[in-house]
Amino acid sequence: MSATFLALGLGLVAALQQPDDATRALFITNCAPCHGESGDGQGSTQLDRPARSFADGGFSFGNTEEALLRTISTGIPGTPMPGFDQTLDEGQRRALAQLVRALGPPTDDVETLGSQLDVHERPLVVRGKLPPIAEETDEHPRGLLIGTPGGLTFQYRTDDVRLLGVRLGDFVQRTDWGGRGGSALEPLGVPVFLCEGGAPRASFERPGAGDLLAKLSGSFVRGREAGLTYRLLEADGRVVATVTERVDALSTSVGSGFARHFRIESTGEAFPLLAHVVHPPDDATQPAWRDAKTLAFPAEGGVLRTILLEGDGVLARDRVHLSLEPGRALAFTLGVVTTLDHAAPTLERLRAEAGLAR
Amino acid sequence: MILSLFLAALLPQVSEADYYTLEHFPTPAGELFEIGGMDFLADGRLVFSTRRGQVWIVDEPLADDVSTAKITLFAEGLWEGLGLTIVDDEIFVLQRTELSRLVDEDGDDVCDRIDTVSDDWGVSGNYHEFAFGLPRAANGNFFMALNVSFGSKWWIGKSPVPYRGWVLQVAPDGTTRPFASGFRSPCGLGTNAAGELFVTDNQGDWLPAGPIHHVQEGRWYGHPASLDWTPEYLDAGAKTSDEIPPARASIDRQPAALWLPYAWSRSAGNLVFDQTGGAFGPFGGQMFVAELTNGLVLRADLEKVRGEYQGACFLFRQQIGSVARVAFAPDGSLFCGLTNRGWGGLGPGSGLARVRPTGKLPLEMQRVHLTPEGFEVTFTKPLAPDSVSPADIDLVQYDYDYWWEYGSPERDHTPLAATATVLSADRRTLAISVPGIRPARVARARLFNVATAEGEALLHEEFAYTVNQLPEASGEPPTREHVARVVPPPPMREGRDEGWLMLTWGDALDHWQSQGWSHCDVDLDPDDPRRFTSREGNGAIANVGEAPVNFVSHSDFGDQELRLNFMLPQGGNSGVYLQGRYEIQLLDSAGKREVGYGDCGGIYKGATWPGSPPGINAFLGHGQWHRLTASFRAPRFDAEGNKTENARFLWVDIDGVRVQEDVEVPEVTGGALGAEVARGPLMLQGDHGPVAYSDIRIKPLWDETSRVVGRPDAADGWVALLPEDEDELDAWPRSGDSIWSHDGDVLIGEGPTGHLYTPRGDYTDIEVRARLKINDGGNSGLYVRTARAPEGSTWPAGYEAQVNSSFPDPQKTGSLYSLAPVLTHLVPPDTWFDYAVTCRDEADGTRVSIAVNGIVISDFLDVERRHAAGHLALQQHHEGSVIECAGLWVRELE
Repeated sequence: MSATFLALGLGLVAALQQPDDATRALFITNCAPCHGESGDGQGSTQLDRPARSFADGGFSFGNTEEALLRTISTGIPGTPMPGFDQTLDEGQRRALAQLVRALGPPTDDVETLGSQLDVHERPLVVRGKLPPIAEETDEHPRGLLIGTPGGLTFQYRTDDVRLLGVRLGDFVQRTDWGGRGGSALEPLGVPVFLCEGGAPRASFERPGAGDLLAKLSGSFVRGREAGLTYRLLEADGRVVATVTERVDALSTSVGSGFARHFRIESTGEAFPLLAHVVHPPDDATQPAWRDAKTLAFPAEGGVLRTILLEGDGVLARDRVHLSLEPGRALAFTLGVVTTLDHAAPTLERLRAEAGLAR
Repeated sequence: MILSLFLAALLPQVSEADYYTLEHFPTPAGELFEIGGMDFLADGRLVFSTRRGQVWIVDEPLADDVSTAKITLFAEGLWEGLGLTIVDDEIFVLQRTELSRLVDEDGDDVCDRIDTVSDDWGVSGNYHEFAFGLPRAANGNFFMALNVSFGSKWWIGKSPVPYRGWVLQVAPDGTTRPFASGFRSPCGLGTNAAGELFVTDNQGDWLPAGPIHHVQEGRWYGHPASLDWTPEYLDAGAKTSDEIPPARASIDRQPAALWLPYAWSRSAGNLVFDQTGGAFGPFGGQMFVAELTNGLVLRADLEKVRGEYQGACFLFRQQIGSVARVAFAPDGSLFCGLTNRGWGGLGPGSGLARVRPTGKLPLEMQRVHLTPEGFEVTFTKPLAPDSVSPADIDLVQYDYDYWWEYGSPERDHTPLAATATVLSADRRTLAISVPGIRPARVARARLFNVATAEGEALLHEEFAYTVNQLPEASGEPPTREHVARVVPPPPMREGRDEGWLMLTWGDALDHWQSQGWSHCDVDLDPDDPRRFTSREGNGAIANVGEAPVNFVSHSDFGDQELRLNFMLPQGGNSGVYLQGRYEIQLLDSAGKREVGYGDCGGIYKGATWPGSPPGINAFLGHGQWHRLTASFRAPRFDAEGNKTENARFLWVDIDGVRVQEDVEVPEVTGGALGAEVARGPLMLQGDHGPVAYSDIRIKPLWDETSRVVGRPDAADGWVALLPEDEDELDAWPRSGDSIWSHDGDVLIGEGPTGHLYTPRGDYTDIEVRARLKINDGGNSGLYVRTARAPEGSTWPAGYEAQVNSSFPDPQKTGSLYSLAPVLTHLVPPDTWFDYAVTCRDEADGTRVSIAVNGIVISDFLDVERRHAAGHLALQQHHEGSVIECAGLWVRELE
């Protein structure tokens, strides 16, 4: 059983502790090349943009010891910040987290709330009411979050299963553990990807029959894998296909992001299916670059949001075309290299590394 | 009389433990077991789900020593789990939004997969939309129940989405169908050996008290909201009324099989039938009912009369904690799952407990059978010969009102007299002749002096039998009346809170001197009932911090009605000082028969005055919430400050039981803030040990020192300003696009943002009075010395007395906007209140004072003299907000 509750309030103690020589040596070896010996962000490694200055504090993904431990362990997808979970043991990583935290400005310690859920080695699925993911979007009384060990949170509405967006950071505050219950979850990560502004259309369409209702069949967590299963229903309630959707972080040579792994099976007949799961940045935006399995859209700051398709299906600008046949499951992976940060690929870099993207 | 008998019966009965032991399982550090469902695996392990959406497995739950129990987490991340059932070792949990099967694919006792069995019901997002379950029908289908939700009026249950207020039946393949309707908050479901379904519901609108229903398919059980999803209403496009009982209430409303006396049950959880084959004692086939507020388990026994169930209930085992769930273990132990978060109840408020028979047979009323002549009571053991005479029996019958109001008092209390008693040959059955028992009533009885030949006394002396029908053999025709009688609906609640100041709503501490006090949830410390444990929450105001002071209001009060809730730990001691000077003593006086001025409900003694003992000991026990209400008349003084009249408590009630009536208090009582005064603050003692309070409110009553005395009179210089009609209103300047109208009595502002100004714009030193009402979510303000907002600007300059009951802006009614914020929600939305604003220049600055319902809330000296003169104005803050003004008066100060 994994410990679930994030015990805050240890930080003040940590901040008052002086790092020992061993921790200091770990810092010099592993952190200082980018972040500088004093933690001021002025390391010797050449980066597109300076690394975080610990002295300034204000960590994007949480400045609690647990949050820093997670960042140190798994890195920040889409940035040069690597994960150290393979190279340092947990005690070393925790010592570094305490040291990094102590380098920052004094913090008012958060009281123990006891209702924050944190993801450790195993993904975590949480059901609950979801607040609007973006301005002018709706709250969803039926919702679900999948938190991955890498710090990604996949946010779904489940009355008609649709991915609303992806967050990065701490997982979720269960505000419904206070009072009489029933209040909305408070996802803690920063949205790094919104599907059509956070209010996506139905995910699947059968040409001629219209949008299909995606009705939740369940969720699963197996080892480090997590996802959902659902059925696709026509308007008359007939189930025409079943879908398994697994999600995780994505790391490629041109940047990082997340991946959705679909497995779709017809319940009986052959029919074409459109999967509206590409979510291009904007309806009016044409790809800046594409090949058969790649779409790259311009996004803010001159970087690209890149869509990568593996497996079955034909990638169109805003959807994947599939041909379902009875008795044969189609499987494809849709990767999204997000515009999370400065390390997302520029057009030049993508062209140069075309073919290396996967 | 009867009430006092009940109170006596509720006092801790130490002897219960002689027959049924109670053990609490330890909870791992950092966890909270808010238990919503329990069942057992084939290997004897206990599985329980919690309101935190976790599922835990207890290894060896039947081990002799509960402290050795190993409790491990099986699943988490669910949205509540208020029902759990195991079928062939598969775990089914009812979440708020779905019925799920939890699957451990690899056998490591950690859930890998959560299958959605059914989610075919609506969830609109309101907090109250709990889903409860999860017993099974004889055909293997699951039974579950859906709470109504609440709209803008929290006390009116609504069914905005299917099938709120229904019981559903879900087949293992997920097929879901509505089964029966008419429920409000059906927290507990249970089936008997025959698979018949019984459901508890909770007091509220249309629910006078807590019923137990025998639920049959297609029937309707009385709460109207669910009818919105019946074909009749859907086809007609009609909705049920919030106030008017539906026609079906008099046609085919199903009566409750049993009404639980409110003194015993304030919030029932689930029920289970004793199918332990005698392992749990002599009550085979009877039901055991979880009761969380009073922290006990009730027992009930039903019989069929004219083809329908009705019957009797009894107290069974008390002082357990907030029992929401009960479940029988394979060996006949009764497991109790506790939770009361956000609901309140006897501590402990969470955790797992176990009740087991000691093997010693108690003397109890085993069954009560209604006969044409009266009752036949069967006891668990033979009684002493001639041990009960008619004089040893107290009997009363009553009914309830069926109406939209929250709960109903017991109505038509009628004493009944037993005329004869006959003990059977085996001395186990007592026939009691009681003329005058009416159908559609509850009959409640207490039997005194019942004992065995060996002198063992009856463990619980009372029963309450719901007489829906008299037996056929009575010769009476069946009645169509109900225990819950349809009555003309009372006036809508709007206005009910009028005149009150909610002193701890919203920011509970803002209006108080409160060092050492916290707004939190508290439970009795399971390791030491003389202390509290506290956690995040808003259920209580408790002195759980360092060196707590007395809790003293910032405002001063004169004549008043007072209402608050309190809870004491074991040995607790506190006191409520009206005007900071006259103390109503609060003390853990549990079980005391003789009570003095220093006991709970006493008015404490003064230096020479001997105090006033309570008329009765109304204190039910530590860990239990009580409501204290009082009416108080302040002392009077002449112009020279000489007292002309003593202070007086008109009455003091605890939980509706009168403990003081018309008590004159000639001097301050011990521990007072100072000498007697016309107006003083409310003070709650906080330095005599732990105490918890909640929902403290005062209704200021008229007295000579009130700031608002009736309608301002022209003779005193007051000028009524409100336009008489639309034409006069047209002459008032405006800014913005708000819409102002006048219905002849009331000025109404709505629509987009804007302001309405008095025609005159040169007011300087003035007093203003207004009678105002703001809607839920609305926001407005009463401005003095204001200048019209310039073109292109939304907000005018001036001093704004804020009007806001529930708009998210933290500054609420009583605030001088941005200068003297008031964070307490003193006035509920949709409630008329009297506003008084005084603005005058003084030597050191401009003083602006704001009073609500006659009590000064803000008094601010603006040394910058921000605004010199101007109009009065009313604000319309935003689309959706509605401000109503039923009077506006101004008086210029000398």
